[in-house]
Amino acid sequence: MDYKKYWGPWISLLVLTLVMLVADRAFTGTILLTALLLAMTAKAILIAGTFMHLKWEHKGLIWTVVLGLVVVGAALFAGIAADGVRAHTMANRW
Amino acid sequence: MLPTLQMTSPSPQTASWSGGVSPFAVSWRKLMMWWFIVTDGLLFIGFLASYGYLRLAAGSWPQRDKIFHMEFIALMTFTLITTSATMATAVGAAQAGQRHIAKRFIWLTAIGGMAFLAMQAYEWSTLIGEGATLTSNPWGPAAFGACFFLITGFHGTHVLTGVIVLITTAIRTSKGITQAEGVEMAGLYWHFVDLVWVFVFTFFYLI
Repeated sequence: MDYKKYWGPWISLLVLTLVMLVADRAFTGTILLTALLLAMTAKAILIAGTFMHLKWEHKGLIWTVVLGLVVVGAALFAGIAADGVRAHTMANRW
Repeated sequence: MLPTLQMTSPSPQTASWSGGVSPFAVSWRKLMMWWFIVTDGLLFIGFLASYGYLRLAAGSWPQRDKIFHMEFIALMTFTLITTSATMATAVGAAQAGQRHIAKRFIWLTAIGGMAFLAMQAYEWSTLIGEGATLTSNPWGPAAFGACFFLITGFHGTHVLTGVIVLITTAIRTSKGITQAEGVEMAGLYWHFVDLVWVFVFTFFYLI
């Protein structure tokens, strides 16, 4: 059995987590946010792609899962989370 | 005599969807597990989006480094990532027909999961001891406590479910009842729990 296949991604995941924690101490604002979101996306791709075997699945399955989560996820964030800004402005109007 | 099914050859367009074949080239179990993962993932996306709303609407949010011990949260993250690797090894061993190695790594994964739950219980009891509840907390907007307990609580419940699934799978694997595909399904669920933590860790503890 090829252990490297399973423990290689493990090392990458740990390095990415370390990068996030270091970035948290070293940067602030937009740079930090960008670094965190990039590292988070890389970790998600690693877990779903290799551990969950998704990158070797049928293209139809990959697109259904990825688009289903990403498109609906983006719509929920845009529709719900972004509305918090409006709610905050309304509450502080007077 | 049984009536025979009409065996006209289906048109190429409908062939994949007319039954008897797998359009996604996976077993029904795996397909259903993925469908479940998508819907369960949407549940967490809903939670995180609501958390985003509450946090932006509140305007201010408690400074997290005053509440959480990041070294401890990092240890929790390390534990969960490691259990994902042990589970992937278990699935690989099961597929290679090495049942005993598979069983051992499923147990290791379950123990790691229990360690994560113990750490979460410690984190929760510390924060509750400091006065955090679902409706109030000493650090800022009341929504902070609600979001924290709801999101980490739902994730923790998923970990607990996963541990139960893993223990069952380990016992059934050692008895030879669960085959490689069963181990793979338990693995898919477990990796999903790890995947959710990637987002909770980023959005709740770091941003």
